[in-house]
Amino acid sequence: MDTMLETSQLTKTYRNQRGIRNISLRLNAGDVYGLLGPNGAGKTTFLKLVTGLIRPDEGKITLFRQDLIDHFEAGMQHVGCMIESADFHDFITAGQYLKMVRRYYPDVTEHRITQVLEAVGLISVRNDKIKHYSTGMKQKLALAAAILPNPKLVILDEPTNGLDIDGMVMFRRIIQQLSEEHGTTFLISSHMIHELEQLCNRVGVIVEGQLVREGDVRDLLAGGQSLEQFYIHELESRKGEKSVV
Amino acid sequence: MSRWKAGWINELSLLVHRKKIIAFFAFSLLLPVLLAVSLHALQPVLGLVAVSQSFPIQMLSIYTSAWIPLFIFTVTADLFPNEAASRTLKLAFLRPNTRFKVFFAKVAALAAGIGALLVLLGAATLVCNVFAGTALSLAAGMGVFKAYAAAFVSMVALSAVFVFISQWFKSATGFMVFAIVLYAALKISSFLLGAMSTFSPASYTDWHMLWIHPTVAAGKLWSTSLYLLSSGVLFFALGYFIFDRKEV
Amino acid sequence: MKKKWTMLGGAVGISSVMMIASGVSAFASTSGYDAYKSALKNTGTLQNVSVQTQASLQDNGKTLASAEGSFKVSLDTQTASGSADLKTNGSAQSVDFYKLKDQAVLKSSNDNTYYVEQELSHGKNKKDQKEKFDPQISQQAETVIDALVGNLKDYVEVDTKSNGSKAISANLDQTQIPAVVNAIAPIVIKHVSSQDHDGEQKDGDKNEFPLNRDALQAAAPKLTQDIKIEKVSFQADVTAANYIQHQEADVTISGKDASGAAHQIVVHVQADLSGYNTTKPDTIDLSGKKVQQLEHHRFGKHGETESVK
Repeated sequence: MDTMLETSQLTKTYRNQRGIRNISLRLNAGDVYGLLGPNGAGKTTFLKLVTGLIRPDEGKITLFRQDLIDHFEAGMQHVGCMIESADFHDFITAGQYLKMVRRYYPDVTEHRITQVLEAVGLISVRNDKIKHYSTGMKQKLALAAAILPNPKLVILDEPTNGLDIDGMVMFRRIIQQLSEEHGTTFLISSHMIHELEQLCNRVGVIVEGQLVREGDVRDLLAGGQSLEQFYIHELESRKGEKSVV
Repeated sequence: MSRWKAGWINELSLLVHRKKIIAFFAFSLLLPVLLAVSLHALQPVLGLVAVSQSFPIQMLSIYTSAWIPLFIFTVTADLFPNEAASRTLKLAFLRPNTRFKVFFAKVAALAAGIGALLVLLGAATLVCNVFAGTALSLAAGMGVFKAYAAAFVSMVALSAVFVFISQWFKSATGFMVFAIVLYAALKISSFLLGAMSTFSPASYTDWHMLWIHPTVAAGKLWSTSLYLLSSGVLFFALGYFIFDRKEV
Repeated sequence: MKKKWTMLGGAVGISSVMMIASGVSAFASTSGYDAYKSALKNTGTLQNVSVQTQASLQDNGKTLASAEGSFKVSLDTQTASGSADLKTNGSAQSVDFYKLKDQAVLKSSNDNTYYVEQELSHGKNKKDQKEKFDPQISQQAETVIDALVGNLKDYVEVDTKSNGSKAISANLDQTQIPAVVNAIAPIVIKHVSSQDHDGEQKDGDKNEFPLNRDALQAAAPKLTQDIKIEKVSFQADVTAANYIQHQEADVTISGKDASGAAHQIVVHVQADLSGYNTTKPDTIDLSGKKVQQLEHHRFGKHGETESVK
């Protein structure tokens, strides 16, 4: 199977001693990988590292079997992401913003902009300035911008934050459709277990900066465990370890 | 379209979508007229310069000493500290564009803005001349062109210093205040310390004056050009060094 | 990755070296301005010297007034002597003067009287002089002047001759004159040329020295509008020993008077220096001559007007 993204012994410590430690993880083509963890566990840090927003202290990141930092452009050509909050230059419109995004990808057509705006349900407000958007609308625009260039790998950080039920369902449908019809690989972080359970084929649990457990969702469910039980178990066993120490 | 160019066009389109930049440009069209009219009106009191063959050059000295630096601070504040504050830097970082290209695109957009402003100011000033009935001779026109081109070089070199400084700021307002104070301090310092008039890029705002005089030694033009070029490269390189290590 | 840091380090290294090198060369390059400054300072150290001066005022090509003078000045003995001729619209007057250790003597060509003024406050004068040459203040003033001159100093050309002497010159046309100068100069010109003539010397005070100071002012046309400095040119010759030998300046001003007539006024001044440290001012023996004492305030006023010019 083709490796889309691989990290080995990835370590990053912030000045406040938070960060992640020795995370080794591999995403194969077609994976929908859920990154599960409590707030502040290091999910966003990990996603920022694999998208080059921050530099690791130690460890290596390869994207499509090439070093991320040395082949940043070639790698990112096929990656779409939304990291942390959905922030935009809010004095332009969604249409103008996607036009700007399109300039980086020679193969993406003007029609594709309409397509993604329709997909996320923003087509009617494409000529409104982003500053008039709600948080959920911005979240949808961020997803539209991420999938605009038909990426092979999509990295989503807490994508359903601020979305209503309709929005959540829409997000899930888009992800499922891209995964099934185009074989797009996803790396999704969330603290919403049920969401990941429905979407992902694999999950990893990050607690206090470490990847404590990885598993195949089908295997876990086949063992009679729900993802929630699996997650709670992992969290509690960590706490247990801690109290022993 | 090559990738840095995509970034550059994006930065430019962001600039023209900003109201205050448009206001800057609009006011720049009015500025020569306002100056010409007010200078004319003040003539009985101040006995100031009339619109004449030398008007475009004398106006240029006003533009380069205050108006264009102010434009540089405003645009730089938008390009760097403001993007850091509104967390929009990642929009460019997450696209297939190296940090160097992102930085270069921003600096090129700033330079293009300075160039456009100079063209606009120059054109408006020349129109003032035509209206005042003192259209320029070809030779004088060439001199004016040379002066405005030289002003572009000195203004870009000046902007390098402030792009470098802006890397330390996370607030546009903070940067603006600091930049204005620093610029004033640099201007004053040459009155206190002779060496500053050679070693500070802020002292070259009237550099274009050297290019319109036929007797200025070629060696002097060469050494000051080299100085502006190298200080530009140095401060842009230092600015990039910090920009490249930014964690967003 | 390594390549990037090499490039960046190279750019920073090379550009900072180049910046310092070009800055130093621009800083150290002896412009005509610096050559003149150094000659001026060196000339200031002379103990005594002879000076020939000339000045003229032309309006639309017609000479309105001209003045010539020759002076011998000695700083070490604090004496000086000289004569000056002033021609305005055909009328001429000349003045001889002698500055001795404790008195100043003036004589006009119009009569045979010698006007004498005793120096009252010798000590105070000395102190003034000391203050004037305080090196720290003059250093500070020099920095300020340098900064004001700015890039203009590069307009000054210098041509060094094979015998070590130098010809220094500067020519500025209207475009090249800094905006500030062009903004302020017309105000000053207007102010000076439209000043009321005080006619003080006609009030019959016999205790005053009969020099028609206002003659020059009366001769000049009174510009009221469109005043512009058209051209400034300056030339100086400096000897191999770095003394100023000759200097001259022309300023061309254009403008209109109250009746709307256009004027082009050319002011020309020049000075030639000779007898460096070998000059002895002439003295005068007042015995048997008609002498009148001058009141001190009159002389003070005289000095004041001189400093304005």
